[in-house]
Amino acid sequence: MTAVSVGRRRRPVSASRREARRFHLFVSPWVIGFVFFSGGPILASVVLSFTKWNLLRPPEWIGFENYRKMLADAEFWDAVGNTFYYGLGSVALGVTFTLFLAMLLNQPLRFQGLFRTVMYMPSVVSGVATALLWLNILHPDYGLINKLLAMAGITGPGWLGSPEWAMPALILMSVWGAGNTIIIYLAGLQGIPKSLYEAAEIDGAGWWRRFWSVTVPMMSPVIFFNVVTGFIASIQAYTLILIMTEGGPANSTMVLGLYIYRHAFVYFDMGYAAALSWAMFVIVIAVTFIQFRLARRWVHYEFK
Amino acid sequence: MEMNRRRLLALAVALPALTACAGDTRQRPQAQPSGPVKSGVPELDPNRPGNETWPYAEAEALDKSLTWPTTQVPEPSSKVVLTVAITADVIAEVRNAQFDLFFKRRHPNIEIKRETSTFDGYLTKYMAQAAGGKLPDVMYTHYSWAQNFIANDVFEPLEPYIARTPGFGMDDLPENALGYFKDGGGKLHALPTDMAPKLLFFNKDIFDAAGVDHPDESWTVEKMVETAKKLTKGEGAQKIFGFTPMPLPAPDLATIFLLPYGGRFLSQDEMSVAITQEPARKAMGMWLDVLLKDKAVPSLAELNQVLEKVEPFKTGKAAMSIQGAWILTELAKQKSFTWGAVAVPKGPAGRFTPAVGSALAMTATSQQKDAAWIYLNEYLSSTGQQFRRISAPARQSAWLPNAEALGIPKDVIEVAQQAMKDYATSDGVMHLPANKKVVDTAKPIWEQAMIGKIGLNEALDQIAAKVTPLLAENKIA
Amino acid sequence: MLLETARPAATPSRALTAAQAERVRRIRRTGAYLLLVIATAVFVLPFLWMITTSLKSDAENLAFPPEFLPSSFHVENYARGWSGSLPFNTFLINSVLITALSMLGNLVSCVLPAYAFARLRARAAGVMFALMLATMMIPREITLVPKYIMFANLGWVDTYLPLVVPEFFGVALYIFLLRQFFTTIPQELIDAARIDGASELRILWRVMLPLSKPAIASIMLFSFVGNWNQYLESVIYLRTTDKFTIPLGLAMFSGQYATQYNQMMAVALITLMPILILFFIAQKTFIKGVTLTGIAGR
Repeated sequence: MTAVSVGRRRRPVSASRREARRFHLFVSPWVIGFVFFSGGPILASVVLSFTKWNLLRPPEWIGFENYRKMLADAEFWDAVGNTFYYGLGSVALGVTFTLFLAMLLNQPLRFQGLFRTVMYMPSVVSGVATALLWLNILHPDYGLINKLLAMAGITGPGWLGSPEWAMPALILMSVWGAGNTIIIYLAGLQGIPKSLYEAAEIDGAGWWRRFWSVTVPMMSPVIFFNVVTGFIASIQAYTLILIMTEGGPANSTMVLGLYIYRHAFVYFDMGYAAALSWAMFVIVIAVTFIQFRLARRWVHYEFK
Repeated sequence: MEMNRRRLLALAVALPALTACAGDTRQRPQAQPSGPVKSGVPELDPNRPGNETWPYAEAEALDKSLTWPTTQVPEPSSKVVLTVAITADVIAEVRNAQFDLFFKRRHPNIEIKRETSTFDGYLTKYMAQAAGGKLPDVMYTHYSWAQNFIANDVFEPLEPYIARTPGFGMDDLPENALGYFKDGGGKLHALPTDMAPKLLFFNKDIFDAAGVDHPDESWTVEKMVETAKKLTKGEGAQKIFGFTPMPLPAPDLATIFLLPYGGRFLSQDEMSVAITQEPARKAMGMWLDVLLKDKAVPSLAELNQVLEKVEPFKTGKAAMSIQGAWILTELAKQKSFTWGAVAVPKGPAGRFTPAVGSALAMTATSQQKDAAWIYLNEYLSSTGQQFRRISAPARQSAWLPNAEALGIPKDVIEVAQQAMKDYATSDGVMHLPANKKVVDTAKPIWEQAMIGKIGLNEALDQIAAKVTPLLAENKIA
Repeated sequence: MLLETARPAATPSRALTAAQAERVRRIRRTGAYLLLVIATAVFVLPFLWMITTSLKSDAENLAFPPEFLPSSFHVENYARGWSGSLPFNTFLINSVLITALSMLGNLVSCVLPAYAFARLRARAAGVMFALMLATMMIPREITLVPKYIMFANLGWVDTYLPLVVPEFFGVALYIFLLRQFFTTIPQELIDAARIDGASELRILWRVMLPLSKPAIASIMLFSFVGNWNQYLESVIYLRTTDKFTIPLGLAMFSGQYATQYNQMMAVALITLMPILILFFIAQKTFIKGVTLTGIAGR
C-alpha cells in the first residue's frame, strides 16, 4: 500500500545492504517506541474486543460475542452511515476550500503574516469559545446565519435542532477550523519552484491553467497527505460533535467516534468499545488503501 | 439532570455560582467580608488559601465557630497520607483546600493528598485508576454511578464505622434518598454530601404581567399545564414559554412527570419497561400535545440542543420550570426578574419529587480506612456541610445556616425542606448500572416524536422494544 | 480523484501589453485583498468573542440573547482568573516544561524515520510504513486504558513521564508529513551530494532540512499546539493539583452547574498568546522557503 517502491534500481549488493542498514538505524526511534509504548496497548485492545470488561472487574472472555452484537446493532450501522457523511463532507469541502485559502495566503501581499495568523485562529482558540460562538451563529431565532437568510427572504432551518441540518452545520464548522490543513498547504506551496510558473506563463497559460498544470501536480503529495490524514481524522472525530449536538437530534449526528466514546467512557463497556474501534480501523484502512491505490494515478513523487 | 450534557465541556451557564466583581460588594453574600484582593493581581498563599468568594479570614473564623464531630475510630499513631478524590470547580477547590488545611490542624498525623477533578472528567479519570489498581482512599460518587461501584465491590460498607461514631446522627440524613448508596443486602456504601429536591419555580414578573395568580401548593399538574398554555406568547427570540423543560427520557422523568399519574418509565426494580402502560402513555401524550399543539414548551430547535446558556427559565424566558434546588444559589444572585418556588404540583396519584445528589465513599482497597473514616465523619457531618456552604446539603440541619449565608430566601428553604421530609423519593429515579444506556437509547426516539416524525404510540413502543434488552445489566444484587 | 476528473479546457491566451498586464495584476490583487478581508471577518470572530467575553461582568455571562459587547470592561477578570483561585503560574511552568520536552522529542525522533521512509531503500520499508500509518487509524480512546495500566505498573502515574517519554519515539502523523515533503525534493540534489561523497546524515542536514524548513516549522507548530492543549491524557495521569497543566486548570472554570466564562476566556487568551506568537514566527519560514527552493529548482 505504500508508494515507496522497493529496490527497483540495480545497485551493487553491498551498497544496497548498507542502505538497508542505514534505513533500519534511522527508523529505530519509531520502532522502539512502537515496541515499548504503542504495540502493547494495541495488542491489548485486540484481546479486549473478545471480552466483556467494565474496568472494575477482570475482563471476561466472550469470544466473538461483541462482534456478533455489533453486526446486529442498528445504531452502529447508522453511525457508520453518519461517519461517511461527515467524513466525505468535511474532507471534500475542507481539502478544496483550504487549498484556495492557502494560495490566497501565499500571495505576496501586505499584512500577509497577520492574515495567516487570523486564518489559523479557529483551530487554536478555546473549544468552549468556538462552541458558544457557533451555537449563537446557528441559533434558529437570533443566529447570524438565519438573520442573513431572512434578509434574502429565506426562512432558515433549525440547524443544530434539526435532524436534516445538524450534520451540514457540523461540516461547515469543521471546514472553518481546518487551520492545520492550511498550514500544510502553505508549507507545500513553498516547494514549487518559481521557474515552473514562469515557464508556464511564457507558454501563455492563464491562472486556471497554471493551477491545474503546475500547482496541483507539484502539490499532489501534499494534497494526498491532507486527503489521507483528513479522512483518518474525520472518521475518528467526535469532540466537536460531542460538544455541539451529543449525536442528536434523533441520532442524526451520531458518528462512529462518538459511539465508541460513549461505550468506552460513558458506559464503560470497554470490550464492545474495542470491537467498535477495530470495526472503525477496518473502515479507515480500507479507505486509505483505496486512496493509496488511486494515488498512483495522480500523485507525483520526485523519488520513485 | 442530564449528566451527559456536561461531559467534556460544560455548557451549562448560569450566574456563576458565587461571585462578585472585585469592588462590587452589592452582590456579595453578607456573611463574607471583602477578600484579600487589593489592587492588581491577587496573591495565592498555600498556607492561607482563599479567594474573593471564600476569603481565608472568613474560613478561619467560621472554622473556629463550628464544633467538629468526634469518633471512637482511633487516630493514626504515626503519619499517614490519605488520598482524597473529589470534584470541584475553581471556587469550590479553594473551599476544599481550606477544609483540608483546618482538618490537618485538627489531625496532625493525617496528611491529605487532595486530587481534584472537574465533574466532567472525574469518572473517566477514576475508572482508569480503578483498572490500574490505583484508587484513592476516599472518593466522590454521583448518585447515578454509585450502584455500579457498589456492585463491583469498590466501596467499603460504612455501618461498622457509623456504629463507632455515636454522634453521627443518621436521622439528620434523608432516609428516602439513601437507597442509591445501599447494596442488595441494605448495607450502606456511601453517604450523601448534598441532596436536592426539585421544586416548581416561577417567574413572578410574567405571572403578574398576565394577571395570573401565582402557583401554590394546591396546584395539580393539569392546572400547571393549563396556566402554561395561557402564559405562552410571542415568537422567535421574544417568545415566552409557559413551562420548561419538555419532559425527556431522563433518569428522573418518571418521578416528576409520571408518578403523579401512577405511571412509570421502568418498573420499580428497573428490570422492565412500563412507559407503554396507560397512565404513563397518557401523561407523555399530554406533554407531546403541549409541545406540538400548544407550543407552550421549547421545541428541540428552540432549545438549540446543548445551549444551556439560554436555559429559558434562568434567562427569564419561561413562566414556570421544575428544577433542582441547586439552582437556588444562582437565582438568589440574579437581579433580572423576581421569582418564587413552591412544591411541585400533585397528580391523581399524589405528589412526588426526586431527591438526587452526590456522596463520598471509602474504597475497599484503602490501606488507611480509619483515617478515611475520620475524614468522612467530618466532611459529611452537619458541621462539615455548613463549612462548605452547600446550597442543598444532605444534612437537614445545615439547610438554614447555609441558606442564610448564601442569601437564599427562607420561605423557599422551608418549601425545599418540606419536600425532603414529606414527598421526596428515590422511587422512579433510574440509578442502576444501565441508566445511561437507557436514557441514550430512549432519547433519540422521543426526539423523533418531538419533531412530529413519529406518533406517541410508535415512539413509546419503540422505546420499550429497544430499552428492554438493556435492562438485563441491572441484574446485579 | 476529485482533482483528476475535472480537467478544464485550456483557455488560449494571447500576449498582453505591459499596461494590460499591470491592470490585470492590480485587479487581481484588489480581489485577493477583498477575499482575505471577508475571510478574516469570518475567521477572527472566535477570537473577538473570547476577548469580549473575557471583559464581561459576571452577570452578563447569562444575558439572553447574548450581547457581543460588554456594557463595561472588566479587565480585572484577567487577574481574578489567573491567580484569584488557582495557581496558574504553576500550571504555566508545568505546561511549558511538558511542551518544550515533547517538541524536542518530536523533532529528534521524527526527522530520521521520515528521511528513511522517503529516501532509503530496504525490504521492510513498505511493511513498516504501512504499519506506522495503521497505528494512526486506531482510535486513541481504546488504547488509553491499556496504556494507563502499563504506565501505572511502571509507577509513572502523577508524573510527567507518560506525557513526555513517548514523544521521543516518533509521531506517525509527523513522520508521514515530513516524508511527503522529503519526497518532493529533487533527486538530482541528493545524487549530486552522494557523488561528492556526503554521508546520509550530511545529506539530511545540508540538503533535506534546509529545503524542508516549512515542513519542519509545521510539525513543530502542530507539536506545540497539540501538547499545549493536551487534555484527555493529562486528566488521567496528573492527579494532584500542583502538577496540573493549563488545560486542566482552564477546565476547572466550568463547574457542574455553572461556568465562569469571563475568567475562563481571560485565562485562555493569556495562554493563547504563546501559540499565536509561535505561529507568527513559524509562518515566516513559509516565505524564506520560496527563494531556497527557487534556486534548487533551477
